[in-house]
Amino acid sequence: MNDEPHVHTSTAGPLTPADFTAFMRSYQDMVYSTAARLTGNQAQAEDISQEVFLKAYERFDMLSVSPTAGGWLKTVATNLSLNHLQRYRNRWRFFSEFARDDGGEREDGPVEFPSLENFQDGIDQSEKRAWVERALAELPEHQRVPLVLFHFEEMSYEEIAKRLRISLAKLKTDVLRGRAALARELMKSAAPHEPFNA
Amino acid sequence: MTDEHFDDPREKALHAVLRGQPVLRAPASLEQRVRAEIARRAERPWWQRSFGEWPVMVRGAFLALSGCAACICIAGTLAVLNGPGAEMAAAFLREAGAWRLLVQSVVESGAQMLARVSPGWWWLAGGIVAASAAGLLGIGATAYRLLWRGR
Repeated sequence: MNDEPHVHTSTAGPLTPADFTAFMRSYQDMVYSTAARLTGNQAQAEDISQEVFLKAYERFDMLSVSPTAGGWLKTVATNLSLNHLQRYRNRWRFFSEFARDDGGEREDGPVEFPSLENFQDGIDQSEKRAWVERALAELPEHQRVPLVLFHFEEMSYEEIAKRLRISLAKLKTDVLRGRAALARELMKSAAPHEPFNA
Repeated sequence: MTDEHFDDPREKALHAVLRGQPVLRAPASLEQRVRAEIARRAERPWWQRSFGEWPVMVRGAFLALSGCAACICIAGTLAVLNGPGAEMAAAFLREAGAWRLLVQSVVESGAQMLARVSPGWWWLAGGIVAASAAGLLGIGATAYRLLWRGR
């Protein structure tokens, strides 16, 4: 992933709307990916991406010349996504816990973690990528979010636990079960099947 | 992040699969939405924007007026309490004392009335409240499952 694409802005004179459009086009996929993978919801990801770029617009004078604009955008997208999930979780926590969806696996049960050695074989690359995204989006939030933060955002376990305000032990359990659930989903795709249309 | 994080080769393989994922393509509507929202915000009159975006003159005038209003309030209060309005303030406090006695008598009367209610009625009222709360909870949980979780 290239988080720091080159942004073409007009070199002389004040910044123009075209400059911001170019800026947005350079980063919108990265921002949207971050939000979509964290929330697991395309509509929410688009709302969050819009909010990220509106914040960027307010600071465009600074961001247009900053070499770390991509990092700033990614941080804001991550924070807004986590805040959104936190708000949602607080609102619905009570009801959600009536029927917690853990991908059909008991929290205290053994973890079945299949090998991915066959996953690469016999599947079209774009189809494989679509399967991965879909499997990731279908994980329960408490497994998906740590996985995304660890594997895509490259945060450490300690950082993730602190950010999500959960214990390190709980985080490691969620990550382990999330990986196992994801591997199971992916291996289903390795079995003979109808082509998946994202 | 290095491979030493993954003692299990299956975890390492999964990490490789995830890291190999390309960025997702943002919907075409995103750019249009952002531009439209920027235009909408730009068209708002200054008084509907945040204080930081108000014209400098207006911000200065607002701060000056706020300071004047605060000074008038403080000076007025001091004048009432220490100046010729002291008698008026004392009368007001006496009036307030009368109101306090009235409220106290109403509360005491209410407490006496409630004390006469038999325990059976209290149990019935408590049951109705509990049933209502449980009903609302059920409606909320059903609405969540039907309307929200399916989205």
